[in-house]
Amino acid sequence: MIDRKALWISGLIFLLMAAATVWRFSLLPDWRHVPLAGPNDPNSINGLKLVIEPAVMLLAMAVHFSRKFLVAGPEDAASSWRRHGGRLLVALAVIVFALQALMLGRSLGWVSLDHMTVARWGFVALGMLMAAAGNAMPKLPWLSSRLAPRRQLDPWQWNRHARFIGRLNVGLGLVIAAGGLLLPEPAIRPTFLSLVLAYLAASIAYRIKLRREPSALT
Amino acid sequence: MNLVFKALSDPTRRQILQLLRRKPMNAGELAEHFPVAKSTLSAHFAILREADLVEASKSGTVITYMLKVSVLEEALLAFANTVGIGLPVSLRVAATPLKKATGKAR
Repeated sequence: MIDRKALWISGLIFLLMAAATVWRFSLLPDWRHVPLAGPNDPNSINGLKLVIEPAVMLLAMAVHFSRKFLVAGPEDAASSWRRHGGRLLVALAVIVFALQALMLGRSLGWVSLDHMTVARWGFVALGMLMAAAGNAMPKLPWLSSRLAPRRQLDPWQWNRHARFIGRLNVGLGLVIAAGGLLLPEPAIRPTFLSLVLAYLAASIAYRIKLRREPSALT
Repeated sequence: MNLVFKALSDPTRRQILQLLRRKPMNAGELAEHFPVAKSTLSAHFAILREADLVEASKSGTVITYMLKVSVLEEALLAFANTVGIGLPVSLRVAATPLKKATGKAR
């Protein structure tokens, strides 16, 4: 159910990121204040921000690994999920690694990119990844849940749910990519946060609606 | 992607996909909607399966088809339907003013 190769690659990337963070902290007199652009820059960011990227990576790996225990199904269906999850995990690892490398490079004065430029292209990359994941979602086969087998959707309901979530993901991904490039800096965080909340509400509401409808397969 | 374009270029196959958007159907139920021989329909199903646009599950002698299209493929399907790809030119020309006239009447 899990792509071991992808897990190894992303695990290695995670270790590199964690080691780089610890190394950066070791160079500072106070790890809570990391200079933004070069060692002599008076502007600093909270050191916890350097932990975000490795934490995101660890969370993504945990989610990928947990599938092994949460769902079950025939080998051909499981292999589709394995490929999909593995590709997403490695792509996310590469994006997050690049973002952290640029952040550390800037902090050490090795990279002279403006932090908003890095953040904007980060949104573009993450948005495109989200859109790609959403596009492939309806192609994924149904798997039975081990946690709540009685409350799960049947294959046809899952198919409709995946198409709905896929469209939402593609839409949200493209909006995040475009918004990351075009929105003014103060508007980015509230806009994206409200969009993600709306996305979660819509996906939960649609799932509840589907569960209340009679199945087309019975 | 060539297989997908080939599959979506035919109006009958697009109509099959449109029907499968509503619910999964078996070959017999789908055949009721088309005035063509079953062998012709089987060929259409084979092309759709080859392009990975439908999923077939066999239960006894009944094969049930379920839609399996990505978001991009669904958008391509909608586009092909709107433009009328694969339809004879006379039908495409006839369909356009009809839509416009209906729109004006509303």
